Amino acid sequence: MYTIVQNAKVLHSCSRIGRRQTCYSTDAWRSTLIRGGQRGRNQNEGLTQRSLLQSRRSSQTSATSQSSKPTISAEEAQRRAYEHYRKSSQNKAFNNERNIKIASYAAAVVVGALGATYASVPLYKLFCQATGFGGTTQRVTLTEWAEQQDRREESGNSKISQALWDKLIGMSNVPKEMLPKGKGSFSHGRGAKTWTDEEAAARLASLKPMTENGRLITVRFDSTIGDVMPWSFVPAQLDVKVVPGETALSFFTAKNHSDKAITGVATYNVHPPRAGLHFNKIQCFCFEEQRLLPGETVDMPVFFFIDPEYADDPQLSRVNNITLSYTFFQTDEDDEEDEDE
Amino acid sequence: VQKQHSNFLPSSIMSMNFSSSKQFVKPPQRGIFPLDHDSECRPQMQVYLECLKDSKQQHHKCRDFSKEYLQCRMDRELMAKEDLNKMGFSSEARVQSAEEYDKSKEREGYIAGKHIERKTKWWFQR
Repeated sequence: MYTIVQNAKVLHSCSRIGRRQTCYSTDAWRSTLIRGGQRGRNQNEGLTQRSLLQSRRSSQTSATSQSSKPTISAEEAQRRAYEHYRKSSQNKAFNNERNIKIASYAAAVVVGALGATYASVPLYKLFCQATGFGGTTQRVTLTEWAEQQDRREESGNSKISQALWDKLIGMSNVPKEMLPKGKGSFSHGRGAKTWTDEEAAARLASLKPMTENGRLITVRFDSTIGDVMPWSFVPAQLDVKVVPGETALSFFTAKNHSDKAITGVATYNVHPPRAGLHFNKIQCFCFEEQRLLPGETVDMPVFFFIDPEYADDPQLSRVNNITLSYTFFQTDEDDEEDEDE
Repeated sequence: VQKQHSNFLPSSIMSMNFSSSKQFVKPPQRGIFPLDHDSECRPQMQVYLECLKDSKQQHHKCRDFSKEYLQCRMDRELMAKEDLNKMGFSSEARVQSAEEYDKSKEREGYIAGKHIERKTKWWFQR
C-alpha cells in the first residue's frame, strides 16, 4: 500500500495489526503517536505539516540521499496511514463487529471451562475405576457389608439383596478365592470352624520354608486406635523375624480403660503394598467385632505366614522389612442392659 | 428394646490411602480367633515372648513355644482343633538356619540402579 522511504533525517517505524498499519515517527523531537480521535487531530496535523516542511527543506539540501524510485515521501506515508486509521476507527460498524467477535471468543472460553468442570466428574470416576488409583473404599465397603451381613443374619432384620451383593463383589478388588463363600463364612464364637477355602488349607499343609540359609524378613507391628476410643492397643512384641514360608505367631494386647463395654473392629494394612500380596494370615482378630468388658485386658494373637513366592518377586528382592499395622475402630458402645448383636 | 445399629461405620474407618498401588487386604484363611477373656493361655504367651527376646526376635528358634500356645488354645476350646503339623509345624518345615540382611549395601554404598540383576516385566509384557 504505502512505501516508506528511509530519509536520512526522518525514520518511521510501521507495524501492521490486522488490516491496520500504525506508524510511529521515531524522530526525537517529533516523536508522537498518531492517534485517531478529535482531540489530538489539530495537534497532529500541525505537527505533520511542520515535519513536511522540514523534510522538504532537508531533502533539498541532501540530494545524494534521495532515492531514485518514484515513491511517496515518508511524511506522505505517515499522513496517509494516519488518515486511514482515523477513518476506520470512526466507522462504528467496523468497531462493533470487532468487539462482538472478541466478546464471543471470551464467552466461548468461559462456557468451555464450565463444561469441562461438569464433565470432569464422570470422567474421573471412569479413570479411577479403570486404574484403581488410590481407591480402597470399595474393599472397605465389601468387608463392612460382610460384617453387617453376619449381624443382620443374627438379628434377622434386613437381608441384603443378592443383586447388590453381586454388584459389590464385582466392583471390589478382592480375588475370587478370598471372597466369603455364601453368608456367614467368617467364623465367630466358640465352636467348630470350617475352612473358607479348601485350596488354602491344602497349600498350608504343604507349606515349606527354605530350611537352610533362609532369608529372614523382619515383620514389624504397629497399632492405632480410633480417635475417641478409651482402649489401649499395643503390640506385645515390636517385631518378629521370619523366613518366607514359616508360620509365625504374634500378639497384641488390648485393654478397655472405660467403665462401659466397648466393641471394636480392627482392620489391617501391610506396608510395602507389594509385600501385602504375599502376606497371608491364617487366623487373626480383624474384621470382626471384638467386645471388651470394662477394665478388661485381652491378648489377641495373629497367626500368619509369608508366602515363599516372596523370594521370587523381583520387586521385593531388597525389601527386608514389612510393617503390619492394625487399627481399631469403635463400632458400638453399650450399657449393661442392652444386648449387643 | 433393640438398639438401632448405625447403617454406616463412622467416617474414621474410611482411611484415606492415596498410594496408587493396589492394597491387598484379605480375610484370614481360618477366620477369627475368639477372644481369650479369661487369659487362660497367657503363661504360654509370656514364655513365647521371653524366648523371642532371648533369640533376637527370630521366630524359628521359638517355634516350639508358639506350638504350645496354639495347643493350649485348642485345649481350652479357644480354637478349632487342627492338626498342627498341617499348620506349618511339621518337622520338615523346621527352619534350621537363616540369615538376616547385614546392611552391606548401606555400609559400603552403592550406585543407584546398578543393583538390578533381573529385568522385570512391564504389565504389557506379561
